[in-house]
Amino acid sequence: MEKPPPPEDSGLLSATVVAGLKSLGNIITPALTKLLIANALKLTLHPDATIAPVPELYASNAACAKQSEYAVVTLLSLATKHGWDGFMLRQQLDHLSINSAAIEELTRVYEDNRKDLVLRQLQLGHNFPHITDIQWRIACDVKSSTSDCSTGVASFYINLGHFRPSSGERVTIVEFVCNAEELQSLINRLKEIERHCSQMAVA
Amino acid sequence: MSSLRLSQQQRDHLTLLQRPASDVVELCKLAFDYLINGPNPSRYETMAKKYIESCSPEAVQRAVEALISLLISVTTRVSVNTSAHMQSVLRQTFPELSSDVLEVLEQFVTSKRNFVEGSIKSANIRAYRLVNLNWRLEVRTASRSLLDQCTVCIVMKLYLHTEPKNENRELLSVDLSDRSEQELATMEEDGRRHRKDVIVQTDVSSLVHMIKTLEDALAESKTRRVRNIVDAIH
Repeated sequence: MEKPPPPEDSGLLSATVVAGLKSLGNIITPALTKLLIANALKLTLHPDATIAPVPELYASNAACAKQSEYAVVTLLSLATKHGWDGFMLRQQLDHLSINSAAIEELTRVYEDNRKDLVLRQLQLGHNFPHITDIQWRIACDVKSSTSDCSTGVASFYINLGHFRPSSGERVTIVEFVCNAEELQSLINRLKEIERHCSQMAVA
Repeated sequence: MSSLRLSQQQRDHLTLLQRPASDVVELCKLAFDYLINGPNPSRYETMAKKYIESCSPEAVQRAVEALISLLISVTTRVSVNTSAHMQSVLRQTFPELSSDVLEVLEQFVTSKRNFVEGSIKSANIRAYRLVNLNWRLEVRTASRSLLDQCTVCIVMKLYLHTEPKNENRELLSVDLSDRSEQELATMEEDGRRHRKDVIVQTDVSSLVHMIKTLEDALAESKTRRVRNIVDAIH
């Protein structure tokens, strides 16, 4: 594989980000650096979630800590976007003359959470509503404003939805009704898709 | 066993049923035609001249409309399980009619029962029904946030409609050739109001989960317990 150019040369990391990374382990103490990287990882993985504030990070030099936090989030996102492995990340950071303990910590955190970072970034961008959950209920009418007697047929109320990753709250995407024949034909269509997926996997 | 409660006006309009069964068959055919294509005055005029010398085309139309009203009443007010039950209800409602005519009427109300049931009973609160599904299997190879990826994704377009049932929608389809532009625009607007297309996506494991869950629902509907309840309500 062709070796990527150093971040400064490739223009991937801005001067602000590089300055923020250089503060780690220097202006910001090694202990606080660890804490800051852990916090930045949480921000990257769960930007919608409520993350407990860490006041000690901002006690002495708030502006610098904010800049470093931004730098770490950017670094993790860009490394994931470009599919760097831990070795490549380390190499890129070495070029920037960053504190070695900070490089160690950044590389460790990146490698340990790479899978989650990839999954997170898969969800970003434009997507159609993604169905992960399906709910159903069977109901039969007894009487209605237009009819004194039942249709005598059970209807299926199908609700397709997904769960918000941050809160776990369920969101309905679409809801519709069908009878037994229509439901059977829907199942057949879905099975047809599944069959095609399996064929593709084998091919 | 109870008879149907018809208004005096309805009974007056249905006096044309007191004719030979062959004439009543023609009236029932006109009623079927009315359900699908709407009123057709020229046919009522022909009918009035040909079979029923002593009546006006308006009287034929009123009889046709009263027949449709009867069909709706039978479907929505009477819970009928057997042919004998239906015959008995009709006999009690129209004691003056001959058994030939009653037989024709029974065939008329039975044959269109499902049509009316779908159109009226389930249509008072119209939920969206799934009428069609298109799908596409995609492999996403890159995105702005992740350049190197290989994600299998199934995109589905769900066609939803608030019309009661597939078979009824086909029956309700009309000939568009001799409609005015304004009528066509109104029909299109009406169609748009009752239609919704939704594009969604899913992954293979969620798809398998969906199939399993829907099969559970279908299996549950076939259990003795659910069948007993539905039969008891009906």
